[in-house]
Amino acid sequence: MKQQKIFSGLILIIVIILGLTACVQQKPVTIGFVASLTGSTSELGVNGRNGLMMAVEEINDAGGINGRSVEVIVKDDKNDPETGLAVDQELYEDGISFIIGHMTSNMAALSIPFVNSKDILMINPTMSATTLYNQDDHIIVVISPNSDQAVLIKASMVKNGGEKKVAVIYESQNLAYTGTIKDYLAQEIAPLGGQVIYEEAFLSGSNPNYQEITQRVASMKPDSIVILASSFDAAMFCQQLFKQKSQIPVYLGAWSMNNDLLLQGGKAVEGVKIPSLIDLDSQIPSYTAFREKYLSKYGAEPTFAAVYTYEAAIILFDAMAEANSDDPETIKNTIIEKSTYQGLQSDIIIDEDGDASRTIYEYVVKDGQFKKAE
Amino acid sequence: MKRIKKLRDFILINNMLSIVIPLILVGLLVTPLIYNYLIKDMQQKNNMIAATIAQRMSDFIDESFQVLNQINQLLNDGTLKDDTAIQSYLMAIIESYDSIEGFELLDTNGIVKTNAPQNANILGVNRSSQPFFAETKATRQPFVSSSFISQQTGQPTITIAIPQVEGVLVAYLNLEEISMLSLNHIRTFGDAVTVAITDGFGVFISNKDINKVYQREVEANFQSIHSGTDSGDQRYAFTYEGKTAMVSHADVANANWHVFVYESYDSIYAALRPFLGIMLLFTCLLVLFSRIIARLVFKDINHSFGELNRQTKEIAAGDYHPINTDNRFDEFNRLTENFNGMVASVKERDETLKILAYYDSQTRLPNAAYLAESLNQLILDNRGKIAVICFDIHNFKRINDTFGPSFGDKILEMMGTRLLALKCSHGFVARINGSNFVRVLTDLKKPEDALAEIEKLRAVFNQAMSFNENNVYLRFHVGIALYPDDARDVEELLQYANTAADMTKQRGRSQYAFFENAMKENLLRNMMIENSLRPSLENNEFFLHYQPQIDVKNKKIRGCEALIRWDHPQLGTVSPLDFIHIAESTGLIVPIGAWVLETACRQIAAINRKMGTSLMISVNVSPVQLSHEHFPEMVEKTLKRCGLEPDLLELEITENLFIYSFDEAIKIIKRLKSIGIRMSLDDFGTGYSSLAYLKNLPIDTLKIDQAFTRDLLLNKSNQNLMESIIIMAHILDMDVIVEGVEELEQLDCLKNYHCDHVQGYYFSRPIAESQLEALLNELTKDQDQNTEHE
Repeated sequence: MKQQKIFSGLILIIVIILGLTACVQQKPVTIGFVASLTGSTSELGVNGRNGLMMAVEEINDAGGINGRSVEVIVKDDKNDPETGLAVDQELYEDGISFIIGHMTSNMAALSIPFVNSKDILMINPTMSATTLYNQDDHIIVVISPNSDQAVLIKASMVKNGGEKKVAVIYESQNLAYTGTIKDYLAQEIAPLGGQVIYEEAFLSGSNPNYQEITQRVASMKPDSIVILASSFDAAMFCQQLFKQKSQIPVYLGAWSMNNDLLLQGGKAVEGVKIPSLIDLDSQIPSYTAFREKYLSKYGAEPTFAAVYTYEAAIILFDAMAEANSDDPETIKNTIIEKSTYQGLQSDIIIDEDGDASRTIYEYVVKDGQFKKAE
Repeated sequence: MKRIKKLRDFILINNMLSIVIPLILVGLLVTPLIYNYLIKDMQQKNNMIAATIAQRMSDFIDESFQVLNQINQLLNDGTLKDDTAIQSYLMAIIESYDSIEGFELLDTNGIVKTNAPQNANILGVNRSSQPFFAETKATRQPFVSSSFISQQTGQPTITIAIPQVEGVLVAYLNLEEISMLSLNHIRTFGDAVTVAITDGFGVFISNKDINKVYQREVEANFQSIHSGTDSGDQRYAFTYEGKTAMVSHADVANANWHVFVYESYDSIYAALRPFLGIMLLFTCLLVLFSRIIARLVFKDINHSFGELNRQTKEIAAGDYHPINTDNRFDEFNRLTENFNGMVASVKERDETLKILAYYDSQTRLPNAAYLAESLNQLILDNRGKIAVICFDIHNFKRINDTFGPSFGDKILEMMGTRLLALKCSHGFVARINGSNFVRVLTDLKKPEDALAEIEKLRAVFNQAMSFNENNVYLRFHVGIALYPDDARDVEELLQYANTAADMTKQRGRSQYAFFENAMKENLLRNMMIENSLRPSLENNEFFLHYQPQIDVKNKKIRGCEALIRWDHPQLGTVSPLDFIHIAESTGLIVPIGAWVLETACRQIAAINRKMGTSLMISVNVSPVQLSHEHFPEMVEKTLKRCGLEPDLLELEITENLFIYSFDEAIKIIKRLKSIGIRMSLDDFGTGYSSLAYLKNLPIDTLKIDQAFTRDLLLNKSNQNLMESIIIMAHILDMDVIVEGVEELEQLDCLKNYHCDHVQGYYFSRPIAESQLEALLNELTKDQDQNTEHE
């Protein structure tokens, strides 16, 4: 009898312990992250990943989403739509329902239809292809549309009186981004008598002849040169213009606004004007705290890619916690329903199509730093 | 209810538990110790590996710096004068060093003056923002950069830089090669460990997975590890892709790089596994060993239990022997001792019970049950001829009645003592009941052997029994039945022996009798008589005959003796000799006697009235009747009822009455005489005729047995004896009636001796009442004639 009691006691204790551990060790939430992480376009993706990782670290330190820790599967789309589709498929097959990415708009063409066809919710931190907007789809966009950047560049040109003859160098792989800005810009300057007098595309990562391209552009004597490329490529073009001692004002797309630009550009990027998706001088505590943390962690200033990806993750986690669900549709509806999110610097308004509208800032490189334009 | 379990299982399980539980406890205690030891050991080893690799990387950086320094020297001493020379020299170096993929010579403003391999895009670009320029120029110290995307390759790279005159000399390092380098180092330490190197921000510059380098991934736990560097011997365990790994880390001093050595905890478990395996094996072996030992131990216990079980089973079956087991356990010895004590007491009790069951407490002789069982056994054993000798104390009841039951008990006790003292061989003596004893004699050669045994017994009984100054000599009826001659089963043997004994009793003087088949018939007849005796009275099967008693002097009729006759429906006329003793033994003699008395009195009274005579009537009375409490009152009432004068009734008693209780008999006789009736002593001379007591008897008439009359004329001495008895009777003032007078000579002889009355066939045989009147008339006529003759 006594022995039986002891045995039942032991069994009871074991069952209780197992039960408790089962409760504590809930199934983690696994999300996917896709971006270009290698090569000349990787700066955006690497920064985005860093921002995401901070968000994940924070939520896990705070106890996870309703007690469930968050894990991330990182995939490199190599800035190639085919690869992007392949990794999306991989994530889907791994049972991932939530993907943060892609970072570049050229991924939209193949990835968006795939995501829409599957039970997946994709949150784009920096993909700003206009085709994404105004569609009720499986996509939540955190960045404001490209047209905003075109408007800002035009305004900047007008300020410097360089809107008449504009030359554009643009990256051809991320045409979804570069092409739209180029087209918007042409539309914007046209009423002012402005015109894109020259445009040349190049393919990033294919060892483009930066020198010759810039020589061709410069020979057209434009009032302004607009370079729509990754920070790496933009810096290279600026270096060539610098070598040629060109005095033509250079305007960049927000895509280029990475530390790389300053690092690789050196003196060559001084005076370059660039629309910024974030306010680098923001003194809002949430941002400054983030910035400090980021700086100490990665040894560099947070870029818009880092901020936007961080915010994208926060929006997703917030909705998942609120809905307490794993269902992409439910999460999407929760996000849309809440609509207003507190970003690091300002509120993010997400409309019923899952599209955001954000403030955009004009910046200029001065003394090797991004400075807000006067 | 408590569950009953097998001792064997109990011992085995407890034995096993007593081994397994301590072992498990030891295991639980030791495993963490070993685990900790293994972890510590692993960490020490990995720290060493990390330090070693850090040293190698440091050496590698140094080596690379040496290359830069060498170039610097060549540039400075003018060996490499023009661009072409520089270019070709740098290319030569790039080709000979796998780890270097390019050089840049920057001027004081950070402008690329020369680069190798040549790249028009790069030449002339501004590197002023790059730390490798700015820092190196500012500090004039060798510099190692963080990871960044190379403008030459478009892939992550690390640069090392040294100041060169006013500018800076930069070398681009091939991260893939660095990874290869570190991985090659780690390979010598086995598969269990992996290595990674990061720059100062934790960005991988070397990793087994080169993608992590190309994607500029940050070591997931870099900050935790890095911030804890100062605390020394700290352990880092982190989860990588779901697996917990221990991380050792070392700094590459000259490059602000960090070397991480990972080892999955799986390898600790792998190291623990053999230990646990051995532990398990050890436990299993011990359990097996314990089982074997327990079995061996239990074998002894089992043997003891088995023996105990077997022997107690035998005991339970009735074989009361002491338990004798050879065992090694004191407890068992004590158990068997106790059990043996119990067996002994059960045995003792059994003996007592057996004695109670099979022995008679009074005589200490075997009893009837013993007799039946033993005799049956003897028969079953078929041990040859057996004699069953039944001997019964003659008139034991009377002895009891006379001297009191305690005297009877004492006699039985003495009998027992004497019989036991005989130490009978070949069989035994048992007391059946009351005064009935049986000697069973085995191994009989011939029937006569039994007689020798009877003689031996008689010798014992012939000695007087004295108690409280009373001396009694016992007489026995002995009957013998033989096995297998007479009967083959116990009951019959006993019955026949009894019958033979009864026969002896009936025969009177004879002392023993062998059972004969005739007895069986007699027995059957007696049984029939006994059975039909009871209804006979109601059925009026009895009737009386009368034999006249004649006065010798005047030939006048004195009276008649009433003699009972039984007209049995099947057996015909049955002699009183055949049924009176049965009536006596069954007690039926009391009503039968009463009937006789009543009938005789009534009939003689009727004759007296009719004939105007005063005839007397003599009625035989059995001792059983006399000892009956209300007998005198019954006689009195009967006389009154029949209207007979008491002095006309004469009750005849026999000497048997006096054998045991003389005084009692006298008392009864005196009581009867007080009524006014006469008493006569019948059959004088056949029994214990003792002149000594005769003088004290208050009787009126002495009836001399016909045996005397029969032999009277044979010789003179008989006549003298007859004369003496008659004289003696007359002296004692008694009348004399001689029975059995059949001849005139006998009558004449008796007349000479002054005999008072005679009775016999000479005058008349016993006749029915109807004939009595005629006889009386005839006798009266004869008398008258005789008187006339005289």
